Amino acid sequence: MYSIDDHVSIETILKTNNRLYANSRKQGSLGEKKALKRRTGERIFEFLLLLSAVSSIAIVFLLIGYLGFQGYPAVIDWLLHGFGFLIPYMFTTVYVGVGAVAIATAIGLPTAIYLAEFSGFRIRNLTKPSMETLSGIPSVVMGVIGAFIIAPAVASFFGGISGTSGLCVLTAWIVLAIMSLPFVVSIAEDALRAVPNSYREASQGLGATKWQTTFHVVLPEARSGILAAILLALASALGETMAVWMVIGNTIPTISLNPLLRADVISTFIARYIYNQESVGDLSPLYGAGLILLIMIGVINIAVAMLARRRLYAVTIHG
Amino acid sequence: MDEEEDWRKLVSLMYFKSLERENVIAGLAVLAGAGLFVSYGILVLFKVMTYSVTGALPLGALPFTDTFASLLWSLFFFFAATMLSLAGYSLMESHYAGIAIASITGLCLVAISMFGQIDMVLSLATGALCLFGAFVGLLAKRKHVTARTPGRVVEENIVKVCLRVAGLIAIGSLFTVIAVVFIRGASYVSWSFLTSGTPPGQFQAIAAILGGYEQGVFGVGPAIAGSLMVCGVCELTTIPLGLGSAIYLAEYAPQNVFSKVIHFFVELLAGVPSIILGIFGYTFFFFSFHWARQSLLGGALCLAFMTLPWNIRVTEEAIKTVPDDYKAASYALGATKLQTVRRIILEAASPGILTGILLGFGAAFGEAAVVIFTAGNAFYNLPNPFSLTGSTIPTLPAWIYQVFRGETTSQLVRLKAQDVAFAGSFVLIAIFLGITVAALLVRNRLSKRLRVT
Repeated sequence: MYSIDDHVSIETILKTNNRLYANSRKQGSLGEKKALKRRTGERIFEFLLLLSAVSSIAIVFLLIGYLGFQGYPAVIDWLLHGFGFLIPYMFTTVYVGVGAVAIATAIGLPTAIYLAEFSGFRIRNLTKPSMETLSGIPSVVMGVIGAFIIAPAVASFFGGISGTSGLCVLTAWIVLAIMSLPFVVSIAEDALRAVPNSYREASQGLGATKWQTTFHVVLPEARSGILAAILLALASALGETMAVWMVIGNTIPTISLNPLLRADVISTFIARYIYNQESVGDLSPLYGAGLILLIMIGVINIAVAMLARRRLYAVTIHG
Repeated sequence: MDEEEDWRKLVSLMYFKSLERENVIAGLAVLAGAGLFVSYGILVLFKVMTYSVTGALPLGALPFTDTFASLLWSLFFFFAATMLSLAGYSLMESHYAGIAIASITGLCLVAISMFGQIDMVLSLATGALCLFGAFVGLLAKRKHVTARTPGRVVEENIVKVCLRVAGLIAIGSLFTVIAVVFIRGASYVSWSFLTSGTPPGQFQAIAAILGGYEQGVFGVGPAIAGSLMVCGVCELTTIPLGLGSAIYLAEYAPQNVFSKVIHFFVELLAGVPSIILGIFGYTFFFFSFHWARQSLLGGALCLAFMTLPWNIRVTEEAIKTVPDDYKAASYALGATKLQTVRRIILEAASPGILTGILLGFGAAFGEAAVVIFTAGNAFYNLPNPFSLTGSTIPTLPAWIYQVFRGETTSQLVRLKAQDVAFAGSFVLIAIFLGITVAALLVRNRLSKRLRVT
């Protein structure tokens, strides 16, 4: 039907196949029952696949719905009477997350630039997989290291000034920064690498040095991807529980910029109260706080999705 | 040669006028010396601040509070001194001289910080010494400079060193984490630690009865078994759902709003923090199905919610990399879509899929916040595989957290508890790394075998 040189799309072949099946059914060569069975099999299979694909949506709605169902008394109370005790928690959550991501970006972005633009083939081949491997260091291990190694170091540095025991916001910053570092590096490097090589060649052809090319051409082009990396790291830092729980000191927070104070974030607030069974009677403030945390993270995720779409758009414009 | 050009030459030399390795190392050493000086300065500043606040001058310039910190500092000194003296290597063009200077300076600094607190004068003197060494080195090299280096090349080299230092910090910190866990944890790990369980009761009580955290008292055997069971059941849920979703998204879904919506929700699910899954599982199964608050199936399902989006993403990526030629060839032979998916696409994408499954397993294995609230933190009895929904089971992350909480006020017991916690972390991270490395190996090996030429 087709010669080997013809450019034939897959859809065309599939259509032809279906027509052939229909024909063969008419002529009875395949056997009517068998053909029917095959077609129903295909239908059922596709339906099952659709079901499993929809399951993610169902799970998200189940989570949000259940949190809302459990937490709505508290949330309504907050909406009517002000957020009160929750505001310091929200403040600390953002403060801890933003500080940690700032540290991670300050170290991770130059690392990504180095790996994407300046390093040799061998270094990259060694670094990339190890970054991937280390990006999932279990958070409880990071908590152990934070509490037993980093906290004493922090205490010995700053104990003289503030009398901190080392369990404070600063330690949480350091721990979270180490945890989100591979994340920032690997996504930012992908974003840098997605910039077409012709841009670099054009810039260097005009006599720019490698750094000038990177700073004036590659970085602006990869801006949205890098921003997405930072936002994703922020989202995961806001929700991180275990490591922060173990190092932040677990005290009702105050609105203060002093990083040497003990504090608590929303996630550790929830974890601590459930773990200590302190509020078996009324869980709804915990679920309400969880809902608010989920909304904060959801907003960041939506922002990332919008950024990603814009990046896609930019790529199609530039070809 | 005027003054300005002379200065420029000095700077260009300082920051490696060419890309030769010696120059880079010399520059690093100079930077290290400057960094050491600055950090000394900050510490002295702290001392002055403490003095002005409390009115009493603390002993020594460094606010040491325990021997551990002084050890940390001496290590830092050692590395700084090594870097500095590598400058000697590059300047004197002799390995031995550089190494000798490195060892002597390093050992001196270690000795100083081990046997006493460094005085303010001494700390300033050390900092000045570092800078002086760097400067002498600079002068020694200076006569070799002949050509003028353009400013932008200098800039480029400075930038390159800064980037390289950032990269070193990033990779160094990650490897330090692994190394610390392995070094601190290895001393307590033994065969009995891996296989035995921990007797029931609070850690403090046990420590009091048994006179401390002696070897052989605590074990992670049941916890490992429990963790493996939870993750196994989790994967049993994740694999069919994830595979189905990915096949649908990659092959069947119409490229319109619908598939975008599914993708968006997958991303959203990936962003759900673990504590949310924890509090969800803590009461949902209890209220809805009257399971125990913490159970094998509940924990596994919550973990599955966490690993599902990841699995979908990796699998879809793997399926999309299967070349269209394969599909076309299959269709051209008269295969239906289902046959093509089953026999061709899944086969060709199998390395990627397997990698995704293994990585998901590793992530689930290390996840703590979900498991503590939904699967349980019984850390002594063996898990009961026949009670899917009835009983709390031990898991490794929860075990580590229990040890962490069990630390007491007694200094000696606390140090022992730290050892036990690090030993647990050692086992956890060893299994985690094992799974991850296996996943990467599988990907490399199978994709080599199936590579399309």
